[in-house]
Amino acid sequence: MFSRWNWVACGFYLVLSICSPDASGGLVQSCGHIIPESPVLALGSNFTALCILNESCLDFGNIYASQIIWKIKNRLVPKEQYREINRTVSSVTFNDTSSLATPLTCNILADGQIEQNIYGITVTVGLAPEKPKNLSCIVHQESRFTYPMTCTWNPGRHTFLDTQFRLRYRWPEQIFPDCIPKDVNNSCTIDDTQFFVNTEIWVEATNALGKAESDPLVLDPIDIVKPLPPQNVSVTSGLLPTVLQLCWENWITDAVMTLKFNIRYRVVGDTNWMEVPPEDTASPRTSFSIQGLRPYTEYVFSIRCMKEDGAGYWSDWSEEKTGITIEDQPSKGPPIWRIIDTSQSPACWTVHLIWKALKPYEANGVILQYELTVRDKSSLSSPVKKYNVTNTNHTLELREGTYEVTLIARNSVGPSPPSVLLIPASNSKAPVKNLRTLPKHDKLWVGWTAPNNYVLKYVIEWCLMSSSSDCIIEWQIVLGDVQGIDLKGIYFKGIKPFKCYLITVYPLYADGQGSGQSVKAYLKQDRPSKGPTVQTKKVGKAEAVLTWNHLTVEEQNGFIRNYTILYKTIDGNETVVTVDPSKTEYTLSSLTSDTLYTVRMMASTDNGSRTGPDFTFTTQKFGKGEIEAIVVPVCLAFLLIVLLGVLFCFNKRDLIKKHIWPIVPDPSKSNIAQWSPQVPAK
Amino acid sequence: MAAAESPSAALRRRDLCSRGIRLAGKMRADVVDLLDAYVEQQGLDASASVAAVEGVPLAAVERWDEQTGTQRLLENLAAYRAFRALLAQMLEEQREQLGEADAGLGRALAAVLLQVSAFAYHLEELLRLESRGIPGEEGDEEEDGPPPPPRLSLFEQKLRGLGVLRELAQWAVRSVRDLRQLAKPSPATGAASGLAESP
Repeated sequence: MFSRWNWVACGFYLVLSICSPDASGGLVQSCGHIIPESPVLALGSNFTALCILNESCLDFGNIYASQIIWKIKNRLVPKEQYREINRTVSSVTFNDTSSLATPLTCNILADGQIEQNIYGITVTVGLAPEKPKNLSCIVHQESRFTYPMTCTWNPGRHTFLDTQFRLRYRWPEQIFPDCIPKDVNNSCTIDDTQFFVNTEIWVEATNALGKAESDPLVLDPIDIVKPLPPQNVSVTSGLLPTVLQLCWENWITDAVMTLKFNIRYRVVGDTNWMEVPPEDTASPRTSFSIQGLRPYTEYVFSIRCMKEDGAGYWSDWSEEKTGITIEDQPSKGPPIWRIIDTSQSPACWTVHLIWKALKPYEANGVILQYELTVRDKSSLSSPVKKYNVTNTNHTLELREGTYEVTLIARNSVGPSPPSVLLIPASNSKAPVKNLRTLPKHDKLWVGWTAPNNYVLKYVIEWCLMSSSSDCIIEWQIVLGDVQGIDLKGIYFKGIKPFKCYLITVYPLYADGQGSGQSVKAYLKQDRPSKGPTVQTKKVGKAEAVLTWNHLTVEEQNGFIRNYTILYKTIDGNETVVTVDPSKTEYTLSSLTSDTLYTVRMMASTDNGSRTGPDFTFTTQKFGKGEIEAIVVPVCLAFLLIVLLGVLFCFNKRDLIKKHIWPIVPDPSKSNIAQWSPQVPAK
Repeated sequence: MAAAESPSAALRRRDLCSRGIRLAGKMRADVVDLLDAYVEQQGLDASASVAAVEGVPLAAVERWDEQTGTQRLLENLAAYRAFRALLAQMLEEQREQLGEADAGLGRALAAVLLQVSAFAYHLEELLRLESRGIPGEEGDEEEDGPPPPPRLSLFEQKLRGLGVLRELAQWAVRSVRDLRQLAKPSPATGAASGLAESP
């Protein structure tokens, strides 16, 4: 039995020894090996490797250590770095590992100069980790009860090796598990932090070449908390129009820490935030009343909090919430003015009362209606007329007289202070003096001298002059102590350059009104857009009467200072004549007769001029009476000669007759002799 | 302890006291929350009255205001060391009962246990400041002294846990008061050192 088991065991052993791979390294036996295998080296250090040949290999034919060749990545290492230690061992030395690369191979020049590879190693060159610096930690509050702590540090220079970082922390009597960063090497988050105990925190960096530790940070995590902002913020309108109350929930209990707050607010649509003085919110609270707000205005609020003693970080600003203050009475009456139309008849006025809507910060609410009261001051018995209007104008038919108009704007809380306008029967009080304008950059300055000290207000009307449409009046009221205002075209239309505005100023007194003084003004002048079209009205021999139309307001672009007439003949010099801008006719004199003249006109403003189209005309050959003067005498002379000739001829008619009409005997009566009997002479 | 205390020691004492007070406050808040969760999870009646459990130190004491600073510290330290052991046992029982099923309660218990350890450490530091030796744990604990208590039934374990947590909440309140007394300036400690001389 024993021998049978023996045989089985032997058989097994035989099978195993045939089938199992050789212990010394595979089916192919290597000729040698390198020490050290897979080293990790510090950059810049020196390194020596040994290639050790196997005894068995040497038998293959004259292989000695002296034939060993070292190569880095198929680049030959210079022979100066080799050293033969003995017959089977060769070493290579590198003074600076920065010249090393992977792989480093030990090769041999065998028979027939064939290079054969014996062994190779991977060389990893890198650096030991640098001491991590700038370790800083913060505890973010993520929900009501979770407070993860995140620490960040500067990992230092790149090591070229696989370096592990671990965040370590402990109490004096308790060690906690290390925090291992995921995917990064410069931060780590600890899930839950314990407060009120001084914790020591530091970072360890480890790699194959060494270890480094940062300076430890010792802190109580309660001092580095960034809390969640206050939640469920709500805004409620108070009883007063200038107050709003803010309520919120703190998600940190007093047991953990007490908070202080910053509250900021702004008007909806505005970009500037106003802040409640931090001293007022420096203690724990869940509500606050903000005062000094504008009535009927929508505000946006936001709050943030941090630990009351200032340790830690401010939370983010909470979600913004809005609230509107309640309405209040309007603070001012609307400015009111009038345009009186007397075109129907001078005794019957059509009065257009116009006023401006209050600005939101004066209206303090929604204006529901305007209430007009018109009182006839010239007749005490006349009843007071009241009108409720919802738009900003009203037209009345009034008889000529003195009236007092009171206007009140009313919102849901109450009426505004009244605005009073006195419409006197005639504007008899003193008007302003020296009304003048001055363009200043993009604004038109209008100035005047006050007539006396009793002016309450001034009304300034302005309108854009146009040849095609009516002048639409815009107006503004300024207080009586102002001597000039920058008219920049407030409200809707700006004052545009190159356009003519008619500006009228009225002084208003307590008991009357001065007459309006007007002035035309340009913000900026330009050359006219068209030149005047000149024509001749009458052309003579040596003079021509030129005529033109004034340019329209739109074409002028400025005050026309003068007209210039330029005329010339075809080959002559141009003559220039300057004409007063009020004229529309001019007579050119001393012209050469019967010549073609070309004339054009130029209109000039302070900023340039423009020429109109050319006009040609020919002067007459003859003067006005010349032809008559020649023809009539000639005709007369002719007539005289004819007459004289006739007379002369009449006188000498016989002679003429004899010559012209000689007597020619009548042949029928012609006879040769006449026989007559002798007649006694009795 | 010398009548004149160095300023840095006084500052350190004040810092330890204030942080201890905050820690005790938070601990109490956490224990109250834990109690609610424990009662619900263990299926107990919140109003159940638990008789004084063996091994759980009582917070109520007669003539509390006559105690010296050192006495307060020693009593507190003994109590919290006891609680540390009791809570560790509770945690163990909890894991046995539920495995990892209720990690929430286990985590909350572990957090309270950490706070108890931290508070015990605060007390030891305060004692060191008073130049008192810290009594060894063996002298106060029952671990090596009397034999370990008999294994309780499941229901008895739950009731015991309830008792432990309730008493811990009371102790937290008492510790805050003790620390506030300690934080008051020297005359109290001067008198304490006078009394402390006599054993």
